[in-house]
Amino acid sequence: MNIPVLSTTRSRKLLAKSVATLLALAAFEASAQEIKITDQKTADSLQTPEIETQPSQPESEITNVLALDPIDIKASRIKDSFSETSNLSKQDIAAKRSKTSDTTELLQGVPGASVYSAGGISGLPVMHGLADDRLHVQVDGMSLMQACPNHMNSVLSYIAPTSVDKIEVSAGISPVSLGGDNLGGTIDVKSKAPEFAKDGEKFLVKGDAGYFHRSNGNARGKNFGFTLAGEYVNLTYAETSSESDNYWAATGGWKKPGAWKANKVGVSLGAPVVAERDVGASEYGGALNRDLGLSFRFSEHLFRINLSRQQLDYEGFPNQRMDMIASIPNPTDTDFPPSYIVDRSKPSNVNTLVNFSYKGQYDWGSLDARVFHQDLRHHMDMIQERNYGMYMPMDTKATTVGGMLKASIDLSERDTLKLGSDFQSYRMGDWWPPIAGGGSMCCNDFWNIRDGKRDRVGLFAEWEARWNPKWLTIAGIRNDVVRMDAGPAQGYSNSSYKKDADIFNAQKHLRIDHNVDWTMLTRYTHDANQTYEAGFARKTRSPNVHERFPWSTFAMAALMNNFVGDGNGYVGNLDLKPEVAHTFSGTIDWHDADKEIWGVKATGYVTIVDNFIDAQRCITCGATNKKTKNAYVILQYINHSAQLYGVDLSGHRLLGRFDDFGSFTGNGVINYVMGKNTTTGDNLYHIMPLNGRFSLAHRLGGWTTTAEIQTVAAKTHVSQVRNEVPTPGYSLLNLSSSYEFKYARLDVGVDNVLNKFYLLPLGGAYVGQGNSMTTGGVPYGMVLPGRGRSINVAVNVRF
Amino acid sequence: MKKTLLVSGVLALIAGIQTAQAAVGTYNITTTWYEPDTQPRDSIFIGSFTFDDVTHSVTNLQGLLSESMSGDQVAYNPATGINGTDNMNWVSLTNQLANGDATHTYTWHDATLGGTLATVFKNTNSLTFTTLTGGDGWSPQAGVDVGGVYAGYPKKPQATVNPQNAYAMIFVPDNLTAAGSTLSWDEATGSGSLGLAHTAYADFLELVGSGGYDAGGMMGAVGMTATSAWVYGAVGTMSGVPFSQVITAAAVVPEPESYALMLAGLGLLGLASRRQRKSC
Repeated sequence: MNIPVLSTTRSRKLLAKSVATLLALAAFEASAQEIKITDQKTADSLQTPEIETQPSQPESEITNVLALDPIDIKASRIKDSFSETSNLSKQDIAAKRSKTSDTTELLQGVPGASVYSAGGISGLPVMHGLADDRLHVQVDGMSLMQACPNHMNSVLSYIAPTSVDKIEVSAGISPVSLGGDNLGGTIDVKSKAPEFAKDGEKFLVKGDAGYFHRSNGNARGKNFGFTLAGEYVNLTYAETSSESDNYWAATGGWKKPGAWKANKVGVSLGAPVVAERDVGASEYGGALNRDLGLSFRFSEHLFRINLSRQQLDYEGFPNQRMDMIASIPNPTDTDFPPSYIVDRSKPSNVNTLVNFSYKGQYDWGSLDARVFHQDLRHHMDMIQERNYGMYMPMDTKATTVGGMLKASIDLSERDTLKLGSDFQSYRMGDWWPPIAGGGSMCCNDFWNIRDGKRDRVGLFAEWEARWNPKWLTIAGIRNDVVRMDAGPAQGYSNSSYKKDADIFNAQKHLRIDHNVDWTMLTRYTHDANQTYEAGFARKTRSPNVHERFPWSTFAMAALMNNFVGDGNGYVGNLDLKPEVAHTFSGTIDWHDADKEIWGVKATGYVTIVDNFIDAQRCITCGATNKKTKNAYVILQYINHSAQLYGVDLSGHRLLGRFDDFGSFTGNGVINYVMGKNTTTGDNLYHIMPLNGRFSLAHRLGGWTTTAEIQTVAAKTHVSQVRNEVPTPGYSLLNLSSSYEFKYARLDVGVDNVLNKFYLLPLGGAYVGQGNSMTTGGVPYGMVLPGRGRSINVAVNVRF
Repeated sequence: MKKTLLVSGVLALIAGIQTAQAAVGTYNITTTWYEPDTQPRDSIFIGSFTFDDVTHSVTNLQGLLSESMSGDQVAYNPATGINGTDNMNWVSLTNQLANGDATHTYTWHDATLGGTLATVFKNTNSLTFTTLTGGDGWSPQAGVDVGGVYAGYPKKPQATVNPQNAYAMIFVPDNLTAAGSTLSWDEATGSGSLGLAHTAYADFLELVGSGGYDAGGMMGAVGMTATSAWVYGAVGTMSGVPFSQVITAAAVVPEPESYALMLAGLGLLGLASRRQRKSC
């Protein structure tokens, strides 16, 4: 097949022109505004209201066209976010809901953000090249855990996009009060805050319902919710469901030839035949998110309790060797161990959450408290289009109890002190039942991690000072103690697994890490048009359980441990040390006084990581495994040193506003990041190449129409130890239009209008067909392709 | 006349010696399929056969096939022999089945490859893979086409319907001599002996008893195989691929015609020698 390599050059040229244009625009506007603006903002103007202004869609304009309900705007010092914090508002999110059923995908377009591909609703977030567990991801304030050797149950899959009201992204240097045990920042996803009847109203009744359909993959879903509230009590219920067939690339020809695709036409044992352009094992079904919330408000005190459940019948993972799908012992089989059959109608993943929170305002400040409980049951096997005769049941059970207590104390007009503690107690078991057939999967449970424990307790103190209207500083320090342990390992038998199990079991598994973080941030507001920020931080992350405890070097077992989608197998390392990152970051933010006409923001950062958890080739897995450059391999986690640096550049400009034709606004985002393993000189894995998004938005009345060009350079800096595959550059055209009024919103869009074929730079290895349980069963070298053209429609009504 | 007899005798002797190498011989063979996922253990067939280098027939093929997923992580050691160092299971393959119709030809000479492919089974019939979607049920290509699923699938239980067959297919080059033969194949580059690349094995034995292995069925309905993707379109179910083959002579027995020619030569030489002495 012909991959359009030329597009790499085009992409770079386009990006270079865009950077130059943005910088020229910024310089011109800054000089112009300096002449006009002489007044400086007062200290109060630094306080960000709880409603975000939105550069791409001026609030005043929304107000003009929408009959919004009255909204209380409360100033809050706590929400004094730095420019490195990107807020996705309700309007931003609404525009993206028709494009995806994956909450993580909502981050696309946020400066510095990208997404590791995984299942259809389970992408993994990346900020500044640091991904997944290197980020602190919260859902409604809960620091939730994944419990799968493939991280299939991404934290953000626990909440559906239609339930997301706001996302706060603190890339890189985030205040210590937002959480520890991360290197790359915090992503806080929030559902809608409870509403109460206003004075004079007896009762508040609200509801909404929606439906979406995307042509590519025949993805479809619906949502429903209501709110019943009095002046002091709120009851809210929300439900979302979605499903999709396999998505398809623009063309076929990207799969390697050969008989490895077991279900070729004419040779199928009942499993669906996967067409050449289709991405096998990318379907999902029975995704259902439900949330019931009860809130009480007493004066300045708010109590919330939410009970939510996410369940999923099946979800394919084309860059993993397993899928989330239920399998059960064959009831007609009396042998032990039994043979298995797949059951698509039984939930394979059930995550149940209870979240109790309190927020109160006092004369001395505010108090936040939270306790939550997470119960997760997770089962994997293989969607049968991979290989109809192959089964491998895998179970995971995990519970997490977590909580937080945080006091924000107003020491003076100038100083605020935040003191607090958070904790997380995680228990998990990861076992794989034996099946009939002998060989590698008989006759006992394989315990990948038995009695896994990961407990964390953190203490923090943070001092925020507004020295004068121009200067603001935040300094914080925190300590986290992470205690991890695991029980004895056990293989399917005493054959291929005994030696590794004996080595693991002979060692002490208890590990205790004492981690210290600190953050220093400062902001200088020169005037209403210019803000400058700088930060320096030390952040620490202890390994997760699947980096420390998986013990088997047997290829099939190791291949089951992988949460980066590179097709390789991973072996844990008990001796891993916590990663320690030192990050320096600076931001310039130039804009007009109201941030409506124009704005340019640039953030540069450098992160140096000691004990970065990278990988080395398994040293006991044969000579070929050590040296091969064109095959999937077995790796073991190891501490190295690493360095990441990059720039995020974003800007917007109101190009014109006409009474009869509406307004035109240009937007642009450019991201650049590099990552190096400074111990080996290798590149870090899955570093997003230079990329940008440029859009022109037209607004008239309730209509918003956007044309977007997304351009990505070739990925040439690849991880050699992982045999990462380069990807060519590409550019896509996306069109979307929406109409919104008080009672409804309609979205229509076409993604990848020109139906261009492209490979996803962070898509990982394609192993979604064939015998995925071995290193060579699926040919090496295929990368997950992006979607072909898709026509998307969504409608939401409110009442 | 004397000179003629001498020359004739020498020529007949040389011809007799040369044709004596065109013989039926017994050979030992070790064929190794590399198993990247079970290192340091490989799938190894160690056996013997009789080869006629005139007809290129391979007969009396039999031997033992290792199950690389069984035993401890210790490689087979030729110096100590089977189960000398390793403790893998070894399956006995004793049935070199007679050829049947075109889809049941188990031993045949391939002029293009320059050698003979020969197959020996554990069972007294060749049924190994499922035939639910067609295929001959035993050939390496049929195994690849059905994803390595056992015969009888999807009927349950496997213990009843799976015939638990196993086989090894080896390659004997036409130019095999008493000096033996050594072949290799590099799956990564597709270089080496194409004949060796055509070799394969399959092992569908199921667990017998509890607490240990009797064989190497792999995962559910999928057995363990090795094939070259260059020949069959896919590697084995556990990524096994042809790797090397060593044949050594156990005993070479010259054919009767060769003996006769050599004796005739010696006789002529003896006659010439006697006449020479008489003339002296």
